[in-house]
Amino acid sequence: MELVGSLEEIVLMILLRNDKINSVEIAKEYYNAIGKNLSIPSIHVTLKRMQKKGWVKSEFGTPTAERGGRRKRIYWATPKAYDLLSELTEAKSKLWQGITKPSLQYVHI
Amino acid sequence: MSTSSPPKWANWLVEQLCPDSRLEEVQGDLHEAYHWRVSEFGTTRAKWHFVAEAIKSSRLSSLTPFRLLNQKLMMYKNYFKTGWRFLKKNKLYSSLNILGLAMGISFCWLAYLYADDEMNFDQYLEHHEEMYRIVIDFRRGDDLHHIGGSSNAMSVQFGDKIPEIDQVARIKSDFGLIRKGEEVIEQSLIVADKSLITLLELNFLEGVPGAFDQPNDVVISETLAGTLNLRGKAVGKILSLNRGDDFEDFIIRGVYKDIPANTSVRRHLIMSYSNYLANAPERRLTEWFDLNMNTLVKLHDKRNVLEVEEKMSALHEENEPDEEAEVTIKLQPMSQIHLNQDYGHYNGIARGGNVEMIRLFVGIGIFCLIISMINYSNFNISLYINRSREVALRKVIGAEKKSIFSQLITESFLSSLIAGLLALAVLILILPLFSSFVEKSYTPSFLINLRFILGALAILTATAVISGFYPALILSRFSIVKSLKGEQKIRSGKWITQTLLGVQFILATGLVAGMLTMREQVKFLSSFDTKVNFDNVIYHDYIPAEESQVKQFMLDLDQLPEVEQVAAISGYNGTRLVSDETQFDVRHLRIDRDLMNLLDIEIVNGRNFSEEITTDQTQAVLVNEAFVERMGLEDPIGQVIPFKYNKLENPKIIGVVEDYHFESARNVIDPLVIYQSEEYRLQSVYVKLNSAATFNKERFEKLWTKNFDPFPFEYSFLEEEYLSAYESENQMMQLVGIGCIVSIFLAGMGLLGIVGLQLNQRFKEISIRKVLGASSINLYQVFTKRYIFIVAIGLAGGLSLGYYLIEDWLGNYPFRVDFGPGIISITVIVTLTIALMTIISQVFKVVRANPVKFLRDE
Repeated sequence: MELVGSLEEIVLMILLRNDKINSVEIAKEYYNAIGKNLSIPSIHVTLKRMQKKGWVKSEFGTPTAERGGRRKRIYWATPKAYDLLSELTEAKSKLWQGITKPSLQYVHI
Repeated sequence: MSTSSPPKWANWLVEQLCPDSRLEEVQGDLHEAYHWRVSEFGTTRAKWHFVAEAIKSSRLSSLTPFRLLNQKLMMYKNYFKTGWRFLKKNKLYSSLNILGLAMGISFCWLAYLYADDEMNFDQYLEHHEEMYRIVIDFRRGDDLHHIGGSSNAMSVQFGDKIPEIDQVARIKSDFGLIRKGEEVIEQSLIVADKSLITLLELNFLEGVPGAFDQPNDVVISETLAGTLNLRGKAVGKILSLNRGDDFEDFIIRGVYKDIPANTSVRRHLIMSYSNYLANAPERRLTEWFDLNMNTLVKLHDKRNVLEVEEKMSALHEENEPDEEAEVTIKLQPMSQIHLNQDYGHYNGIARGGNVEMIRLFVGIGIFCLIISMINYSNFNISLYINRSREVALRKVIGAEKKSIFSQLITESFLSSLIAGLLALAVLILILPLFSSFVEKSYTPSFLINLRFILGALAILTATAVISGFYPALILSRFSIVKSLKGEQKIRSGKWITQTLLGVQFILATGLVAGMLTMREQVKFLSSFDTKVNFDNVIYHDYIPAEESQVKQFMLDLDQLPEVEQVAAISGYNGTRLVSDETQFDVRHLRIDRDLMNLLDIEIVNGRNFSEEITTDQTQAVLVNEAFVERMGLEDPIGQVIPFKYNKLENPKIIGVVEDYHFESARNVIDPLVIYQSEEYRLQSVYVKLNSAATFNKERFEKLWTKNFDPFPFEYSFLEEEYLSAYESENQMMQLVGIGCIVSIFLAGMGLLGIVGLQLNQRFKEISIRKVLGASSINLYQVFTKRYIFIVAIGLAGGLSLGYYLIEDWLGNYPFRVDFGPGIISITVIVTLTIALMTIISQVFKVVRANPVKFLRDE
């Protein structure tokens, strides 16, 4: 199983939930889900990396006024990414089973 | 959608710093995100985010300088690729070319290695600039003597009375035998003040020198400790040393790391100076002008040199006023000791360097490099004809002259790089041979130091630039149209090629002439009539024993059946003869028994010493012809001369010997006085045998051991002793010989390449000539003539260059050969033969070719 970084994992999930979106929409969704601002360049870097690995594909979309007439690049996840992520999630949930909250104890020195 | 817009400057930044291929997406996304954030968080935060993201989006690789660099690198990659293909396409010429370049470079590197090492002696010492050796200029009448020495009394007074002097280190050299179990080891040593240890920055591995003021204190080097099997446990051990009489015990106080080979004062054993103070007769310590040691001084400040020199000379005047002689005491900078021959190298100062050898080496290195660079340029200019189309195409596509130029320079860098790697391999291979040749201990690890690497790289770079410059200039100026039509001719290239070829031959011929002259001179010196009959004469030099022992040894030798005659001498000393009319330097010699007869030296006037006449032992002298001439004596026999040495005063001349060479034939014969009285210790013994075949080493050794144990048996044949004087000439001759072979080889190779290339372009012409009826001989004449012309000019130039250089060198010798017809004709024959053979071999190929093959192809 290829290793997936945690940012990569979340971005992939967002892509899988949606059909063909661009970086800004990913940032918006991230903000809605996690409540934190994710910078656009870091999304760019992540997407570029995942594209190299074959998890993500992209194409140019239509220009909009918001973008000052520039075309946007839209991304979507590949089936390979889906397989990878489902495998990962399964493995994670197995690991999670049986985990209890650590009790509040003073550490013995 | 909000009406506010992101900061303009940040937007501009994105445009500058974002790679073009991604600019549209990135910029668009940033704008879109900005508008979203304005509606979500407000304008201020949106702006902050925008700026931060603009900066984050930048990529270093898209900064203008980097971007251009990238493009340039790509261009150079292409240059290297075409260059490599070009080399591969012309395998023969390229390999000749690169081989030649590699030879030139490696020779140059060797020269640099040697010169750099020799010229930086002692300069690694931290205080070398403040360190000096005390030397003396002694002028009497017209004679100026340089003396590299000082006395104990001087050193003490200078140290005490001149405040500018920081430290004084007195050094005396000595020699002894160290006992190691059963065997003895010969060891040279120095007796020195403790300050020497500080000045030489000796690094102690074991122990410390401590006060170093006891007569039996010694420190030894790592190597000597190893030889004595004392490594790691030397401190406090007893060292049993014999310096002529008996074995004495010394205590090893410490072991120092070996003194670097580029130090003028380096020995493996240092003894405390207090030993000399304890043993020397009072007179030797107090007499002002008893010059028998070397003294190094370190000043507080090097700017005070002149002041200190003045004070020293003033102290001399105070101590020893001398009206006849003018004495100047000087300070010789530490860094000059090694290469300056004037003041000699003895008494603890290691053998000096040979400036002539360095010059020769560098000269030959540069000669060879120039020749190989010329080869490179010539080859390339001729080969570039084939490349004129490539260049034209590049120009059509938009290449500028500048970029064509840099392409060709890049190619010469490529060739030099390959040549450099080859040269490095050659260098490592011949380094052991080389280091034994120049009597150094260079190892490959010696090459790994910054100075050498930088110097070697500088030589390599200069080679690439110089050899590539001219061809690059020519080719980058080709006209596009002519080149594409295939009509481009190298007009200016032709005569420059010929000129360069001529220069090569000038250099090569100069070296050949030089080598031949040197060989003649060395042969001349070696077979010089010294008027001494060396046949079957064995020579024991520097016998380390008392006179009675030497005499006993001679008596023992008399008993051997193969010994015909034995004689002993004191060695040739010097003094000054002063009379009312004249004064000059004379050499004098004490002999025991009949040396003149033993060496077949003729008595031209008067008589030899006689055993019957008792005054011969004390008041009679023989002189040589040079003495008679210098004194201006009409009738020398019976004359009393104002010679004075120790107790021998105003002796009477009883005979005149012919001018025999008691030293090498490199010098003129000095006036000589020979006496029998005991003014000097006997230290060398001559033995004449019936014939060389009867020499029995064992029997001699037995007698030696009987008289001089434990000193090891040493002997030589007198003839070898004389010939060994020309060792440095021999060495120089070998060096010039190697340089001569390399340069002739390189020049021949260059000629081969050029003739071949130029003829290759003329196959058609030759074919037509043949079809029209030209005979082979005719063709040989036509095509050999033009090259012979160049070679002839090279010969003439080379001979004048050789003459100029060699006359300068020959001027050092009072007895010398002439740079005459003999040498000139051999030089001409050698050079001409090689050149002719090269040219004809190439012309042969062309003349023999089938004309049909070349005429048919259109």
